[in-house]
Amino acid sequence: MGCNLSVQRNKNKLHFIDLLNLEFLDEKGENDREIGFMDLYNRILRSIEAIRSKDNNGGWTTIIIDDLSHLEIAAHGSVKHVLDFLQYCRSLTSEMDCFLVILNHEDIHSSDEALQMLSHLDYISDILIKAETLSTGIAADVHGQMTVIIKDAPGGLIKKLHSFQFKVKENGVEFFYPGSRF
Amino acid sequence: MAESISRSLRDGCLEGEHAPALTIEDSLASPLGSHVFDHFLANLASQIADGTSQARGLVLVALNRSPSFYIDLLRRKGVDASLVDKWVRILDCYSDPLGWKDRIPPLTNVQKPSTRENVSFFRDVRDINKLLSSVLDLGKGFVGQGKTRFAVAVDLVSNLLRHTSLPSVAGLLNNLRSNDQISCIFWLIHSDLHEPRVSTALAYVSTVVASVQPIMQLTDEHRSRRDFLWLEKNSCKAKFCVRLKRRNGRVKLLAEELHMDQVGVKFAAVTSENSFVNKSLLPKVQFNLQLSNQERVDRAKVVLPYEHQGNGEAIQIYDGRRSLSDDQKDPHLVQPSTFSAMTDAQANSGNGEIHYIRDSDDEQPDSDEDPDDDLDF
Repeated sequence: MGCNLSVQRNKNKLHFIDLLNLEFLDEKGENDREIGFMDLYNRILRSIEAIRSKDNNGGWTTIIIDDLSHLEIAAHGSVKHVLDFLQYCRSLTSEMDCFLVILNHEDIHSSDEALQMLSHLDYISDILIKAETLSTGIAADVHGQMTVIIKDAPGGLIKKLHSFQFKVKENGVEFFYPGSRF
Repeated sequence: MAESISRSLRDGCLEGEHAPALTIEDSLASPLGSHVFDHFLANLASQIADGTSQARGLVLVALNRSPSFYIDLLRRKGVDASLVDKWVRILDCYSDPLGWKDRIPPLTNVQKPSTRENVSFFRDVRDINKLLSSVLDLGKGFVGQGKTRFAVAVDLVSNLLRHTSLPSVAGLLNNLRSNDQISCIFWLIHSDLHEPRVSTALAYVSTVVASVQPIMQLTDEHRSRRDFLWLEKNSCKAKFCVRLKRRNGRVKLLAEELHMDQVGVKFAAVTSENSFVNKSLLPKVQFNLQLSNQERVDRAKVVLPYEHQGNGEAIQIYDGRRSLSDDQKDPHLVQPSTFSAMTDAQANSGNGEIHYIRDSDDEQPDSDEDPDDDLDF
């Protein structure tokens, strides 16, 4: 996609936290899950500290969670622990000038779980981007549709609402307005 | 009606009764509850700063938004910053609700955000008893031990319910309500994050339930057409339904419309776009369904049989068989022939008019018609 992440990593601009090797994945106890998430939060804090120490210009840091459903698996399905962890990540947005970007999947939850997790994410987000299949059926030139909702504050007035269609290409995704590509 | 809620929060409670408690509930279909909460919070804070409310201070339990957000909010709403520092205490359950920050090594290079004097940290939201005593201590800290009262605001009970059970949270709110140093209490809940019994349980411990409901319902048609009009409409407008329990035990149901703009929420009477739509959808009929004022006056002038007239004139007892010549004395009664001629004239002129005459005048006094001939034995 034209972005060399290795270079950024070498410049100390990008920090990876590999969740698959985290120890708390195998733990079962309630306290162990909490400690696992607390350690993860601590690792995020240390990464922010490392970025800020090199480049001390007071810029913003973006935390990207890819993806949240893996954290749920790590927590053995405990939505409560994941939401507690998110609360701490969210507090970084106001305390340490961070952005928070979360990827999640809508159709992997049962209805009760979806109520908890997806509604909660909807409440706390400023921007909601929803990608889904084309409502009119399968098409060769259009792979899906995307809705972008930009709010003035979490749970507030919608400032902008866009509806796009997209086509996935080899090196990226092309977005266009519905009906503009004939 | 929103004003009456503000007034009841301002006036607080009488000696020996529980403090008024307001539940604000919303859902994702109409997520403006936090703005409504901000509205009542700013109103109460400015009344406390002016000294017009029974409460002499406010303790805000911040679970959903940071203390700095609330300080900015009150400043934007025009409450003097020095008065906010003096009369508002914020219990910060947002930054470190589970005490993780105490258990991990502190950051060395990153500058920590400065803490204000009126903000206290609370690091274990699972301990409801500790939370209760922290709120009371904060309140007593600035209003003293006397009979002075303070107000409490809890910004999101839903977050509290994630950590503790419903009975503990309901118990906390009830204990706060019944405390003799608390003037009023209000809280916000996202009702769709919980089972219906949660909202109901909290409604039982509150005196006013303000429910923010969508002005436009999401239908299958919207879904299939990917029509986001409902979403945009519901993000700036909502129904504000209030259930008010009064001191005498009666429950009053009221509804208003809530409009959202860049400044905040505004409440207005239900002007009803919907009733306007209904009116315009009514089929256009060729006759009037209602009487004009003139027609109403005419109807009132008809002398009814056996009616007590008592207006100083001679009382006429209608015998049902008066002669036509007698009838003509009554200016309001018209001979059938005259009446038909007049209606013809009116019909020709194109203006409809209603005339009121007694039924029995249709019949000639000397008619042989048997009034009972339609009886079928």
